[in-house]
Amino acid sequence: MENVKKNNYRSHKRAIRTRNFFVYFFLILMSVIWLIPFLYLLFQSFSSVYTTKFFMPYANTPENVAAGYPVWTFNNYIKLFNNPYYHFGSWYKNTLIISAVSCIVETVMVLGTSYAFSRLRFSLRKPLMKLILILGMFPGFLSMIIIYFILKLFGLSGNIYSLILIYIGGSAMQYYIAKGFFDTVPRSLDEAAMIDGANKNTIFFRVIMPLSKPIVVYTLLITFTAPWGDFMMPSYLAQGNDAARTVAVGMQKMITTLENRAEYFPVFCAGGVVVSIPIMALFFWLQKYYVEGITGGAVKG
Amino acid sequence: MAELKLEHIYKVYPNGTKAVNDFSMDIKNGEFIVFVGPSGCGKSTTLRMIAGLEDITAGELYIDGEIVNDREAKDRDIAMVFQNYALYPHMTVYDNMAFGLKLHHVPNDIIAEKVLWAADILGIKEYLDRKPRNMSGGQRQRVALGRAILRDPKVMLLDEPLSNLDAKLRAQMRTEIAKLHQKLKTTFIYVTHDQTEAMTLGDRVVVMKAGRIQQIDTPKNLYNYPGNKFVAGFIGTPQMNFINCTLKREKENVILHLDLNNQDLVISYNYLLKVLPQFLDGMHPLTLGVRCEHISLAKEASDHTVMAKISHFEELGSECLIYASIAKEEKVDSSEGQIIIKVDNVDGLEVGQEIPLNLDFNHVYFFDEKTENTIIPRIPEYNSFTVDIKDNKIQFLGENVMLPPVLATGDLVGAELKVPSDAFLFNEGMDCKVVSCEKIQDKILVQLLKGDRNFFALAEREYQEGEMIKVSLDFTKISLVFDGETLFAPIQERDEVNAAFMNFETVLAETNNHALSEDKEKRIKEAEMRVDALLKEENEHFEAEKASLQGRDLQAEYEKLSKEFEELVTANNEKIKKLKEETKKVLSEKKSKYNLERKEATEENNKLFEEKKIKEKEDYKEFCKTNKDKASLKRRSDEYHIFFDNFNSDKENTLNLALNELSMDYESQVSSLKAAEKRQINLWKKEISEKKKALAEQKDPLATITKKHEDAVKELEKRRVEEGKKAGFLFFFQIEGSHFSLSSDVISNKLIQGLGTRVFTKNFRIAFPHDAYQLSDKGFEAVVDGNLDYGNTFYVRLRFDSKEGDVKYLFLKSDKAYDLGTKLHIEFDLTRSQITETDMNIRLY
Repeated sequence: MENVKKNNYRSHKRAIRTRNFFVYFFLILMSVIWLIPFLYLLFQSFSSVYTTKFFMPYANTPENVAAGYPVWTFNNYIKLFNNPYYHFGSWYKNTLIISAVSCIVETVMVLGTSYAFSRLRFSLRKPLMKLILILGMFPGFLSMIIIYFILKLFGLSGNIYSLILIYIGGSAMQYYIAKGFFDTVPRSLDEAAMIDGANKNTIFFRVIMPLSKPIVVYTLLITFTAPWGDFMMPSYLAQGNDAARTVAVGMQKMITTLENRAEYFPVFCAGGVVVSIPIMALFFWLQKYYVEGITGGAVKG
Repeated sequence: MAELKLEHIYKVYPNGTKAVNDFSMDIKNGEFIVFVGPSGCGKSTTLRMIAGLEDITAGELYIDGEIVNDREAKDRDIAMVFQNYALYPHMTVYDNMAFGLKLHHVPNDIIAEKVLWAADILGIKEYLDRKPRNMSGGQRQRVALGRAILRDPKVMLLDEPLSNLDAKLRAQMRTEIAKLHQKLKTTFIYVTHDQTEAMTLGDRVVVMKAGRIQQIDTPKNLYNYPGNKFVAGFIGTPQMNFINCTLKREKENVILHLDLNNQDLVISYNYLLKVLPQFLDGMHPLTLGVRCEHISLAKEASDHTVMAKISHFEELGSECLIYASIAKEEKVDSSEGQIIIKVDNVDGLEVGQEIPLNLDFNHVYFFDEKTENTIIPRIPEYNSFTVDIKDNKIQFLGENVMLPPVLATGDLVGAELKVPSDAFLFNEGMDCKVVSCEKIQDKILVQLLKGDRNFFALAEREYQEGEMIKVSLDFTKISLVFDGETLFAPIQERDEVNAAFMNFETVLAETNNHALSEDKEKRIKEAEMRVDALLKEENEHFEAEKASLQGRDLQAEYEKLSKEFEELVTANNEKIKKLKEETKKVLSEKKSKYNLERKEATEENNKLFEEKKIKEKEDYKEFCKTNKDKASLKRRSDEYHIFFDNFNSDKENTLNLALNELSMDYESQVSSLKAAEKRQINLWKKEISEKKKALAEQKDPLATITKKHEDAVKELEKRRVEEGKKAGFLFFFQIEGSHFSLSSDVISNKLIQGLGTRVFTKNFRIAFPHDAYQLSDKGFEAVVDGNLDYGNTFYVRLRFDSKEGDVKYLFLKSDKAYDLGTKLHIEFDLTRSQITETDMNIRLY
């Protein structure tokens, strides 16, 4: 009885509350630290002039302007796209084309490879899987010089769109996660479809794909963001050619060659914000498919 | 509806395990076959091989007389119901059921008709627009069944369809499946591990264990005549009682010795007539099997009763089970010696009491302890007679019978003559009386009486009880044993020779026989000519069609058709537009109604919980006022706090529950509407596209039929090349140095199917029946070694030296004798042989 009294409900609750307080305090602190750079970038992109003193721009009133404070403005974004030195628009277009094309082709390749590894039984299946896994462990830039020579052989060096080929070439290496997902889709669905008279294509596109929305979305996101943010390969291929730059390479050039810091640093920040838009949009758009449990009801349950 | 034939089916995995071992079975049209056995016995694998989901290692599977080994699952015209239903979760019930038909390009209106028919039979009409996740297990299984039946398959395969359902639903679905089978009259193959399902559903049941068939029979026969100890123990609840024992025949009685308590029982031999005679020596360890309903309590102990000690009771209401032990010392954990007895009531009995038991010897089974097979076959293997032989005459059943010269032995006293049941010839010889006559599968077994001796014989037709018939011996099948030595035995049913498989080129290189090449050319030419005839037919058909086009006003026909087409397009487009608008309106109405309902539900929930909150507060206050006990006050205060801590989550949960119900309802209504709309629109669109196609064909009819003709010709030309190629494939068996062409493709196809290219490196054993030989001037050479005269049949023994260097014999059924030492040339009739691969011991043909 004594023990029960000591461990009664309210003291137990108090202990939980205390623990939660510390846990939440720590988490909130971490997230604030993590968020500050982003907020800084966002605020700077809207500020009229760059100074190290202020975190946020002031309201756009004549007094603030007269006092030399940075004030809210949208001009940076306009400047960004109308700059004679930095062709941000063409960088953006390049990156968008490269990312979109390689995203779609890569997704098809990855899903196809994963499905084959998950469902088909062929000789060398396991050795092949292991080989791909081991190859994937070497960083991509190890092969950079070789890739450059190969591209030169085909007369494609300096052509930024040859990046698409490079990304697609290595895409099947990412089969692991999607294969894991396909393994969880019951095989009896394939078999039922087979008996219903479906061939492998029909099974893949009409039975497995509709059930695999989460992994399709995941693969789409991954295969879009990787080329979008890649720096090493494009910088290598772009060389000095300004028209053949992706945003990552262009932004790097921009920050290293900035002349009027006070005026152009906010423009650079605006560039950062614009770069993040497609990924955010993609994520928000695909978010609703990004839920698990779509296979519920397929089999016993 | 179809007949199925499984011939020596094997499934061997790459690591060498044989999941299915020599599975042979004929399944008749419309039969309900159940595969039953413990898990891992290969029953599902067999089913999956029939379905085409698993490769067949060796053997053939026929559906309606066609080999389907290499046919893909989708082309076998079968349907399957899976244990876990395997419904497509992203499709509605309607789409799930229609999927198969859609893939076969069945018109939409026929699909709709069929789906409704199947849904009607299975009672799922109102769920057609639901998704599988919104349905219960039983409903899902019904959908899976519906999906299977509406394609009207040749064979329905069901893989443990009920094992995911609860007991009550299972019983209900079981009867539904039985009814479905009666209604559809399709061949059903059903896999289960539940013997109740097997016994209640199956026309015939296949009991399997470790990849092998234990017994195939009707449920009743499985119960009454189990073929081995496994089947006996597997079928029937409670399990059959097993007791170790030995049997020893002493004239007209048999002494049954129980090992556990050293008790001897005396039984009349009349009960054990069918027991194989070699087991009645008191030496072979046996297992006695008796079901609990065939044991009764005896009034008093005697030399026919078994003594047992009651260990406990199980009262089941209508009947009682007594658990007793016949072992002298009781062991707690051992089921050895335990007997279960079924009685009506246990009044007057108590635990620990010793009771005498009567066994019903008409229903007692004996199994050989080593092989576990029954020693009471339904058709006794042979009858054992004790005979004397004098002057080549055999004293058999009180009469003197002359032995044929080939069976001549010296004079003997007390030898054992083994006469198999099928070694009796009817219509001549000695008079016997028919004691009984029973039909077992397709054979007729008669029990005959001559003097005071009962024996069994297989007859061609049925006889009346008490009828007198004449019987004589078939000397080719009997054997004689004296002092443990076999004096004569029947010659083996088949002669075996070793062989290797070879292709045309190898044989040509080895024999240098150019007649073979000519033969090949001829075959190719013949095959090509067959296709040429078809080509000619096609050309004639084309000319006739062309001629029929002349004299018709094609332009007018086309104009009429195109006018009709345009009218149809405008009419249907109008309809589609209208339907779309209507649906949109209804949908938006439904949506606003749904939103309103949601809002109402939320408000209601809020109100409910507000009331709850107030009530709890008042209650607590009241309690504090009236109650002064510290401990109970504390308890109440905890309760109060718990209530408020959980208040928000409780509120949310209740709300979610209500909202979920609403949304599910709404979703199913919406999807039903949308599906109906889609179906209707598709129908109209289809009308248009069909008309369009007809129109395109009418535009230039000559071009259309020319195109068709060209396609057909192309196809035939392709076939001509293929057939020629196929005819060029010639294979040979090399049998002891000679080559024999495989005249038909059947054997080579089977062998290559079973073994692939390994077929050329393997060795084969070919067994021929004695009449599968033909004398000719070339072919296999052997020397006449002896003439065997059995009186009514005549064999010539041929000797040859095998490749391994030992002497081998062939027995040739003949109508005349040959001089010893004559060299004969024989040809083999390979189509009547049995071909076995020697390494893995797999029978291929």
